[in-house]
Amino acid sequence: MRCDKCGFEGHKSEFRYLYNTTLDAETAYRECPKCYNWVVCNELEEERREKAAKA
Amino acid sequence: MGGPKMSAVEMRSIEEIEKSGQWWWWAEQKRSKRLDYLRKAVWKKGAKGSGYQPGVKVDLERPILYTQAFQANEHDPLIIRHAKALAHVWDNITIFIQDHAQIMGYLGSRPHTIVWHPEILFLLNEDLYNDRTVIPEPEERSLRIIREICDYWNPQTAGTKMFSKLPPEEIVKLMTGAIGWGLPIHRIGYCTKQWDYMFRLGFEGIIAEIDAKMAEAEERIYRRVPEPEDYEYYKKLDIWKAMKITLEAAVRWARRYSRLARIIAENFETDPQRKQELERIAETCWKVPARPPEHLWESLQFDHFVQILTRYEACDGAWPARPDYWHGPFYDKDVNQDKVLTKEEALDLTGEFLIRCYEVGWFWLMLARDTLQGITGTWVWTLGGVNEDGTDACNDMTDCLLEAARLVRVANPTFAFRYHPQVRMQTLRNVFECIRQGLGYPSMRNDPILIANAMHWHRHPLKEARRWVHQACMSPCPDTKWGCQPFRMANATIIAAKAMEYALFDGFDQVLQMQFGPHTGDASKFESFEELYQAWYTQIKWMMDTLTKVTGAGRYNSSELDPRPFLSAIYERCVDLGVDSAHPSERGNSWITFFAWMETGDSLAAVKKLVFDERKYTMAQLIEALRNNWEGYEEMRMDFVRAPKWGNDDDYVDQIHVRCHNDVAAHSWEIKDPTGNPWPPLPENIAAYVTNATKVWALPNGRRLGDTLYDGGCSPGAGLDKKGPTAVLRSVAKIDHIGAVRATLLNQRLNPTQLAGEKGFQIWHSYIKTWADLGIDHVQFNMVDNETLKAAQKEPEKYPELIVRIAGYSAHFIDLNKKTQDTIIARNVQSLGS
Repeated sequence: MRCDKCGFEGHKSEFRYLYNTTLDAETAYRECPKCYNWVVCNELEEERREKAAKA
Repeated sequence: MGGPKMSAVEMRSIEEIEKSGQWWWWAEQKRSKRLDYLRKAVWKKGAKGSGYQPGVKVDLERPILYTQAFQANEHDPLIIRHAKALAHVWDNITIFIQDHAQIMGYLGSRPHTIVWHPEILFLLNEDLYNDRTVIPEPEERSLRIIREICDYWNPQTAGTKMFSKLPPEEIVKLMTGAIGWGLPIHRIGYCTKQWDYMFRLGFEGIIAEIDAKMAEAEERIYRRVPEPEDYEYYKKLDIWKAMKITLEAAVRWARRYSRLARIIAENFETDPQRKQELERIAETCWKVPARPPEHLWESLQFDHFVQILTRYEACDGAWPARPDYWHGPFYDKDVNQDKVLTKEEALDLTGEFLIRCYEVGWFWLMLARDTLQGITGTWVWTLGGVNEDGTDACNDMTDCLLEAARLVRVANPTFAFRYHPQVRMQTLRNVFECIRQGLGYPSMRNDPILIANAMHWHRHPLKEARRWVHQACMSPCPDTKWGCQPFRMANATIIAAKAMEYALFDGFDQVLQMQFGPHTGDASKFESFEELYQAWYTQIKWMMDTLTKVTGAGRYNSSELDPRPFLSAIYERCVDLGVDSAHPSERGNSWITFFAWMETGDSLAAVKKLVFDERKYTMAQLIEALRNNWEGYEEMRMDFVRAPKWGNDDDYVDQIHVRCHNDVAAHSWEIKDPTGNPWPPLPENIAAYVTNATKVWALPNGRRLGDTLYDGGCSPGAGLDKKGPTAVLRSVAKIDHIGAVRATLLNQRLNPTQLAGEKGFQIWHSYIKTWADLGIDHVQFNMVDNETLKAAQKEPEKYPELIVRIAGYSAHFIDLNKKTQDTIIARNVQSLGS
């Protein structure tokens, strides 16, 4: 995934998980390891993309 | 003074403002000129996020004076040293009278200051030394003074002494916050006030009772050979002496205000009306608290003086009060019968009474500030309810307080309303109007249920139980001679969801990375739901036991290590018995606050369904996913999120919750506090559902480390109640609100558009009747739409007075951090009557 502020790109797990507002929300906040910007992440979509890339 | 005025900022008509729902502009236009001035002049002392507001500074007069006197009297018994220290503060601290004010008494020497109690806790002292935002100018001098005071007190604070009574491993557990929130110290607590005693006698009357007790004691031990049981009078004499020192000093402090008012009136004031007010203030402060009040302005002044005096003595984190019950008779006499006060004048006094409470503040630990964002303490005042004979206790003062609240719109105090079937309709409409105008209060309390609850858990006789007030935000405690509890320690709190975490990881704390709870087995090998349930039950019982051991130690040792002479002096029980307020001789009101409670039942239900019923996953897979904080297991996590959840009237999950409640309640009777009381659970969260989000590991309900916890005590998870408000009520009603909990908190959001006008009231009233009939003890409402909340997030400067209900208290929305704001927006908005 990519930070929309500094452009850092990395694996989802590199972006520290912060929180989601409801448990059933697909999106959550994560923190960019480089500039500490909060990045909105679609957890399910991102995970599927990473699994597909691995395959 | 008085009369509506048009703000320069907001020139819309009242009707337009009402329509827009921006009630803070409405209040500004509706309130008197005096209230408008006082409301705008107030310094907000609650934290913004976890930091103090700009300009707020620590007051150094109180710690300097207290320390001087404590050092000067080092050969006196501890309780007398504390009494003399307090007296020295009250005799010497700077006092002032604010323009237009009618109620005197301030905690601190300047309007922008917060007090610091260095005798309480060394951690607090070091927190202050390192918090440069509140150090008064000149900073270098202030820091030198603070360092000297810290060095004097740190080895002998109440916390230091209490630590010496506890095993080191228990202290470690307390400091983590998983068990205990704060420390078991007398000076950090919530004390009920006994108004019938104070209003009946005044401080001079209490001093006369103390004198009689002392004369009797001296007769027994000085003028004859004492009997063996008489030797305790040596100790009691010291306690009575200390009580008397503080009562006399309190009267002198009040009379300093009297003299100051008279000096201003006679020498400086040019406005004849204000001059007259100052003369009345001088008379009032000369009379109370020395003698019983006879008018509303005297009873309110007496009340406020006592509240400030007790906070000079300690950090009373709550403000138990029933102002309509105690001030109502004075209102009735002055306004309705003798007509010496107009309704408008009474409203002004009452509005100021709320503002005077709102401005109280002290320097407090960052941990506590974070968990009580926006406020100083959970100051929930109790309104309504019944009299001792069971008749409706609502009166014109109830209505006056509700109206005043809408005009001054303070976030603290808030109100909780004791609803019962005979409540008078005009007052109920007033209650609804406060909720409709977005105050987030009063919260609604089911009076018959809570009276029965008080009798069930703490053996209060019926008449006494009917006198209950909120001791903090939720727990009912009678304000009677044997009911008043001197301190319910905030530390009697557990993060209940940690028991689920411990059950899943064999007692190992995944966040702290240490063995915490007992070994209950490798959960990945559990073969039945029952095995998991029993592991959880073992862990939660262990948490309750560990907590109450420490809290009991604090309570038992406090009268020796941490006495409070002033609080003792205003309790009839203590004057009668010659004991410190901490002496465990009241019927009392112990409870354990369960933060993060409802995650348990939802987690157990998800495991039952997906692992043991449907066998879609194994326990080993679940433990692995949780160990990874669900990272890489998003599809599986969503399965667990979609498992049955509380709040949808689904017996599959609801009955698991009910079982958890009943089992915990059963264990409550197996552990006793020093007064012999059980420890009933009281699930609620204040803002801890946000701050504890980083202390609770991933759970089977689908949450990850960092996700906010459920916001209430019996509220569904945010957004997880999918079937409307009636389904929520039906789920919540399955809990036994008398025998399974001391109380439990239900947050609901309502649609402000739907509840407009008379139709809106009727819909809400019908909902409340259903809620009451179902036997649910609590519900509170947010009635601000998401559009407004999101606009306030974006442009906070335009919404300075927007108030929301958190969980057990209200706060200005802009004083909350983003995460807390997000959680309020995320709560489902319910449509009633649909």
